[in-house]
Parts: sequence; structure tokens; C-alpha cells
Amino acid sequence: MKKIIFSFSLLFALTSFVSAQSFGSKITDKGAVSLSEMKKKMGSKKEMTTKVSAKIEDVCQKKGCWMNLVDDKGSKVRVTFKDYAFFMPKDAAGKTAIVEGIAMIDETSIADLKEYAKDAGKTKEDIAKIKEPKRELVFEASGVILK
Amino acid sequence: MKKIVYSVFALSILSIVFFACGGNENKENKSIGDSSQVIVDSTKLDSSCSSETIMDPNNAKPMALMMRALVKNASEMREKLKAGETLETAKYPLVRFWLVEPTDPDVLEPRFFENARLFSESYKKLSVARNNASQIKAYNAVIGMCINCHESYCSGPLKRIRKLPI
Repeated sequence: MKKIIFSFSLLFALTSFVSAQSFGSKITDKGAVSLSEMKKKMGSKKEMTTKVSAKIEDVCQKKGCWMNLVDDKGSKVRVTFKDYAFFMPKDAAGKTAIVEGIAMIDETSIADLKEYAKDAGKTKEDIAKIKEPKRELVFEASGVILK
Repeated sequence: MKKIVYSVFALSILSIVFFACGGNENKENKSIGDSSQVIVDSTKLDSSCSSETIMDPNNAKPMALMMRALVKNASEMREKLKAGETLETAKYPLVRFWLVEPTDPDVLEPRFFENARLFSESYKKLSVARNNASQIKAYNAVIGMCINCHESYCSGPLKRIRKLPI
């Protein structure tokens, strides 16, 4: 009986292992920090190469061309994908993502903010309220692992 | 009885590994129209299986796939032109992306088709340019058209496109 339980535990572990999906450049999950730790390390730097593990809050519903990661305090970081070369599954919200790339403070234009809002399914009224560019922490990922 | 249990267990593992590694191939790789070009980033390898990583997991629309082909062609042309070569323009036929389904149907408005017409005219000038200098000029004009249109529709790839001028 013990052998059977052990076998099925092993089977479960293997299932978990192979269910991770990789996008973009090949990366590993080694050395990934939390979003809060990344922000702490970033300090006043304008950009930093790093690897982060965080929960996906939402994904672009048009074609998966961006996603928002959220930390335990509810603050978000929008992740786009290097050279627009790969996208995320539209139903990835709630999963954990390990992203490797560049975190940077950047100004997002009004046009881009409106497009992100449209992609996220915001109403026309909400989109019309966007009148100013936004200086924010963003992340450009060269590789992603989805768990 | 034990033998049966272990056989079922071994088969289960084999099935999982087989489907997890092979399943993505049909789902993620898309072809463009009748072309045999497969849209897979061949430089990338998956961490859990020895196959490519995923690029388009959401059944990308034909226009998006054609845009990938355009970027690939433009990158190739750029490298050749920068190296001083003269392009064999017949290798890079006009991709009529405006005739196929876009990701966002809202883009199909008069201004988009006017942009497409200007792109098409610009691309034809590149097709008839016959030396490196005139091809560079025409190529940059084509990329300018791409930038101009993406500033109005789908700004996501702008960063990538802005790397393309020579």
C-alpha cells in the first residue's frame, strides 16, 4: 500500500513539473525574487536586470501582449515582452509567473495607456478619463515561466 | 496485482511526458495562409522538454501572423542592406495583411486602409529599387509607414519596429 501511495505521489510531482510552460528565451526559476524585493533592490535606479516571481493579476484580453503582476500588498507592475516576440495565454490570471528581464522606470504615453485600458476591457468612459502620461515601474521580460 | 499497478503507473508517466512535450506543437505553431512558414521562435528552447518555447498561445489572428512575417523579412533586409548588399526584392513580396482578419476588428476603418495603401505604394518603390543606396532609402520609407500606422493602431510593437530603420 505504501508503495502505491509513493508511486502516486511521484506521479503527482511529475505532473506538476511538466505542467510549467516556457515563453520567450529559456530561463530557470533559480534566483527569482518577489516583487517587493525587486522594488527594494531597485531603489532609485532607473533600470535593473532581474528575475521576479509573482502572481499574475490580469492579462491583455486582446492577444496576451502584456500582463500585470501583483505583490502581496496589491501593487502592480505591468510586464511586456521583449521585441513583441511572445505573448501569454489570455487565461493566465491567477497563475504564478517567473519573469526575467529589465525592470525600469518609464513614462507610458496617453496613447499606450488608452490601449492598455482597451485591451483590459475598460469602458469607453474610463478610457476617455485618461488625459496624462504616467511615469511608472514597468518590466520588459525576455523569458517567462508560467506555473 | 502488483505488476498491473506498476504497469499502469509506468504508462501514466510516459503518457504525461509525451503529451506535455508534444501537445504544444499543434496548439502554438501557426502557419501563414498557404505558406509553409511556421511561426516558431527557433532560437528558444523549453526548460522542461527539449522543444521550442511558446510564442503565440492564443490562436493568433492571420494579420498578427503576417505582421510577424513582415518583421522577419524586414530584419533580414536590414542586415543585408547594412552589409552593403543589394536585395533580391523578389524574395520579399508584398504581404497584403490588410486583406485578412485582424486581432482587433475595430481597426478596419478608412484611415487604416489609407495607411495600408500608402504602405503598399512605398513597398512597391522598394521592389523596384536596384542598388543598395536607393534600397536603403526605400526600405526606411517602408519602415516609416509601419511606424506611422502603429502610432494610430496597436502601439505594442512600436518599440520593436523603431529598431528597424537603417
